[in-house]
Amino acid sequence: MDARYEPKILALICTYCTYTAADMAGSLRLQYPPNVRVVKLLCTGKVDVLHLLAAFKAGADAVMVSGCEIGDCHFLEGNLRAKERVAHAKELIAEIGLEPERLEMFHIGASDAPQWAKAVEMMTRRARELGPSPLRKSEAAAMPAEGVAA
Amino acid sequence: MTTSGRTGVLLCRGGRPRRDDPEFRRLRWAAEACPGVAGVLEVTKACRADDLRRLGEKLPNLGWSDEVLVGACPLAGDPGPLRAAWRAAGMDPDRCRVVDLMQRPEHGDQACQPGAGSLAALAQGLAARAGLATPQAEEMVVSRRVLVLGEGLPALTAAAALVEGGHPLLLVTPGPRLAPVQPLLGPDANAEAAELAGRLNGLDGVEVINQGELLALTGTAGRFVARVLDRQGELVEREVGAVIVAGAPPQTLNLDKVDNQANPVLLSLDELLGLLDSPEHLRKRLAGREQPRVGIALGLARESSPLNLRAACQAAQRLVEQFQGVVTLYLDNAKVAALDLEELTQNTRAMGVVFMKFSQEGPRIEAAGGGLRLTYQEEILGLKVEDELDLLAVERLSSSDPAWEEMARRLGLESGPWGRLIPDRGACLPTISGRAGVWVVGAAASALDLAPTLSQARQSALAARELLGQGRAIHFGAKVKVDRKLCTLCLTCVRVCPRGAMTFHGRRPFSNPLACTGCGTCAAECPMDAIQVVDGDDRRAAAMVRAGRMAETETAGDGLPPLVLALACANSAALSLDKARRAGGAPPEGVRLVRVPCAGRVDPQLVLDALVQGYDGVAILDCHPGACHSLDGNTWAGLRLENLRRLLAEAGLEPERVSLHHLSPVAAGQAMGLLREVRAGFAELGPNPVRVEAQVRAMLERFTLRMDESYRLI
Amino acid sequence: MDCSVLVIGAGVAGISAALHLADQGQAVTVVERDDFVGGHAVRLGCKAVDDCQRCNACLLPDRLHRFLNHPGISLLTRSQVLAITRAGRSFQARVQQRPAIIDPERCDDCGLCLEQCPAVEDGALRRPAWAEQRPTLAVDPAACLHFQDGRSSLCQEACPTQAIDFGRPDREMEIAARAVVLAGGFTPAPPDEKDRLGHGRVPNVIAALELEEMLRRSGRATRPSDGREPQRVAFVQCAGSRQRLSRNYCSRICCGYGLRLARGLTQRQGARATVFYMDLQSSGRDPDQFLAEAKRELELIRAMPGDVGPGPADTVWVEYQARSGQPPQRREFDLLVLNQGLAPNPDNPTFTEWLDLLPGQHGFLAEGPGVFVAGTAAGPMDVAESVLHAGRAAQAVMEFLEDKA
Repeated sequence: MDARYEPKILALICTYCTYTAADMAGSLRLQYPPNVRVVKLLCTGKVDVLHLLAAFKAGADAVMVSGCEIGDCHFLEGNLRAKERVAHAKELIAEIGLEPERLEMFHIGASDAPQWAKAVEMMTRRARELGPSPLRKSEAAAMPAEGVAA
Repeated sequence: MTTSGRTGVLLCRGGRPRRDDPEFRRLRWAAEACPGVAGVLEVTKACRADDLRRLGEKLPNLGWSDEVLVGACPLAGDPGPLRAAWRAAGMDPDRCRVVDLMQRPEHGDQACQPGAGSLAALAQGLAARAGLATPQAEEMVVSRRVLVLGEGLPALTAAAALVEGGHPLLLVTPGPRLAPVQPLLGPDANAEAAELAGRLNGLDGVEVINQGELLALTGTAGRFVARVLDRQGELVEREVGAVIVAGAPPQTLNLDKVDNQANPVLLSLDELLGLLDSPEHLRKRLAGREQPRVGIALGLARESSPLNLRAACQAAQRLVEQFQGVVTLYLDNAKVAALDLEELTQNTRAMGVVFMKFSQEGPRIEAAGGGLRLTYQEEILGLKVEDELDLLAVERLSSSDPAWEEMARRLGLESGPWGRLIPDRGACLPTISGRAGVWVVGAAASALDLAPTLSQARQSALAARELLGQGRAIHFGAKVKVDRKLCTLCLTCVRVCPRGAMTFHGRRPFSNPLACTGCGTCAAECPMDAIQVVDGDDRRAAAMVRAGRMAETETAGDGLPPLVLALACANSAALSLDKARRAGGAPPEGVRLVRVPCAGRVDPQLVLDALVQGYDGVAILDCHPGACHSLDGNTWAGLRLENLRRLLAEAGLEPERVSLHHLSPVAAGQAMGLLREVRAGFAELGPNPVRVEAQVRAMLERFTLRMDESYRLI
Repeated sequence: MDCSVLVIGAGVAGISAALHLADQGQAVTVVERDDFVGGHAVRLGCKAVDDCQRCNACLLPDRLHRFLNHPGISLLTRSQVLAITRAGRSFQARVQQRPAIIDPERCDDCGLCLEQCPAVEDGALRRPAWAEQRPTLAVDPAACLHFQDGRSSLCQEACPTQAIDFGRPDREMEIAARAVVLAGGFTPAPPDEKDRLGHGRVPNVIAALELEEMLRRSGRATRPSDGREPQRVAFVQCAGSRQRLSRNYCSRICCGYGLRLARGLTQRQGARATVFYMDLQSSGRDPDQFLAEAKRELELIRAMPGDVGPGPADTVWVEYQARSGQPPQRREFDLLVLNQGLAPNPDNPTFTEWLDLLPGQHGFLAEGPGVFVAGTAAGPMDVAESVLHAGRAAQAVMEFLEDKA
């Protein structure tokens, strides 16, 4: 593992819950790793499986999707759909040789700022332990030559 | 060859005979195959008045309204007689572009010679017209080793044929021997199998794994990797170029009509044949009866086969020779479909074996007094049959079990009814499987007798040889291209490819040109539109659709003939349409024909684009269900059609404006009739509101993604 | 002319064998008696009733296209083998080629000759079933009037390119080959040798291949007597096969063929179809499903007609005995189709003698050293199996040639 390796983590978060929590974490001056790039969506229901795959293709070492608590989604079901899609995407990335742990779904309520900090910390640690994503252009890690059985 | 573009090609032979010029012939066929070309005509001499007069009479009926490429000599050009003929036929002579093909000789009697490099110039002109690069032959390194799965004569026949061709072999048998005795095949076949086994065992280049289990078969045709577990549990991993599956599905005694399946009076036909080889055991089985009553029943649960009938007759004859009892053969249909069987059944009858036929209701079989009782109503003689039997032999029938299905899954195949491993398509040979480079032989490929099985084995071996060559397989470049920038590695293409030609290799999808048929299912299913078929990408398809639309003058309102886009599958409908055209048929007015490599290629966006352009209806003409050349292209097309219709209904357009029709490649007589039917169907719907209403157009456009915009993710 | 393999017959089997061998780099010469290639299989139409019925007629188009364009294959149509003998370790054949009365080099397919020909209905001028071939028109000497009176030549006068010439001579050539593939195919068995089934005697009794031709051209079956579509159609299986004295074997493909034709008429034309049979043979990739569907849609009667005669309004009555001991029953139909079997090619004994082969079963051909048989020349089989059988033969040829080398 390269000592200079700093994981790049993409977070797709919803406005009504997680973004509020993240904002509050900032106000509370909670410390957490700076490796995460946040994309603010109205609702995690907007997230398509393809977006998750494209994120890894673009070189993300880990991807977090964080929406409201189950039952609290501002748009009623968005977070449920996101949860299913994240589960499916985990299977898909496993097929191409990425560790499914690089992708995770979180449910963080609007007042749960510490939860947000913990989640980011956890994903960053995971990404560090797993090492850089094999899809990163700058890394020399080779993909397995064999892929999917037909 | 039919397209919406109306480019014609006229070739002047320079007075030379057709027969002696393979180069000219090839040029003609290349022209015909060129996607932008509507038709090719030959003229003996483009400068001869008579030839041109007749040509002029034909021209208006051909409908060539776009550019015409003329391969001739400068004499045919401006102000030449050819242009005059054009003008006389009422066509625009400026649309006629002459490419120098011929050189006139000094003296008038000699035949014209092809100009230096001129054939190539015309070929390039055609290729440029089609937007194609001239195909270059490429080589792909493949493994020559072939994996043969199975035992007995079918597997060994394939293996021997491959060894003759110098291919290294990996022979994996489920059982402990290469040539176990298979009683149903008869002593001759078993002797031959034993001889082949003796020859192959220990031969250089032949690796045998008995009691082996296939763990995985990864890769694509020419470049598979097979992982096999041998009987000691050791993993053997080999690169193989092709696989021949010659194993038989598990066979069971299907006897749900018998009360007690463990009845000792009941046995399978092959067990009976085995017992006949040791008469003392058979006598014991018959409980020492002096005049035993033996029955052999075929066709009880499912249709029997010539193989089983032959075995049954031979068993019956041997029984009669060995014992004094009564032997009865109970049959549904006598499967006599082999040259020897009619006489065999007659001889068997002549020896005293009784043949009893049963129809709809098969016999009821129940245990009775230490033996079995077989009861049924015989139809033809009107008898009630009630036979007490001391022994009843029944055929085993192919079935599927979890182990077989798991093996099929590992091979990348689907196990169908009775353990069949083939997708069963009318346009493909029965040995073709759902994975390129894997052939299926024998019962798993629905062969009903030994001779067809052995034909399959040898033909598959030859097909494998043709694929692998000397280790460098020739191909003409990839037929599909994946745009790495757009690809998100979702592997949809890998999953949908009907022939298993797409794999994930080196961080991106890789299309194996040896296995890819260019059907375009991957291109149409890719959610990012990252895949294009080389011979007909989205841009060109859209352009052809638009060109067909532009050819009509824009006037709104009623009284216009319906404008119909017919997307004809190259493997089926396009062939019949082409034949119908050659025979003098013409598509009805307003119907534009566009050739697609397979219905699986038809991108829903293309269809929507056509409707936005103002076509009154879009018809997809493809193979009949179960006959798709690409195995499942038409299935995908059907599924997409349903989705499309939902979209159209939401947009406020009649869902019936998109339809699917079937036309096989050998149905030229029905081709034009079908087009007329299609056109009439759309005519009933009335003109496409998009032709006149901008608002509907705007709504439809929201559903279509434009071809020339790049896709953004969020 | 020298080649490595001489293939006699350009039906589906000959075509498939030639393709395999040419792909393997062998120089192949194919000799075909007719003006056109494709044999019987090319005249088969699609039997789909919406779903494909697996008749395999569509196996041909790809192969035909490649065959006609393959640089390694020399095709001699209108050619017949006059004699063929072993010459040391190879074979020597003398082939006679009929002239092309219509010169393919000059014919531009304008069709004027067809308009002028007085015997075009009898097939004096014919087009191939597969139009990609050249020439696209041919004269059939058997039906052409010129060959009867020596004078008629309206087509010749009408032809604007002077492509037609009745006076061209035959051509003879010697061909040497290292191996021979016999792919002469079958000949349809006469459907009614005992004149019990009314063919030629009762109107609206036709042979299966006549029905096939009708369907191929127009997609609809009609009664010959009045051109109307039949409501009640009957098929008689085994008309010409399984007969002890003449063809004591089952022709194998006619059950599948007949049932597909019958289903087509039922589903596409709304007719009611009855099939008289003895034993139903399995066909297709899923015989159980196929026969189960046939039993649901068709009326299957397990009896052979004893007598056939004309009824009122050109109907056909059929008498048969459904059950032993009961009086025969009589049923009336609008159209009766006799499903004739496959008989061996009458030239087979000649080739057997010339090439010193062992006689095959029931008049079909057997193989010998250097002589291979492909397709129905070896015995009845359907289109898919003919292709596979030809592949088998090609593989055997390769083995043979490689051994010699």
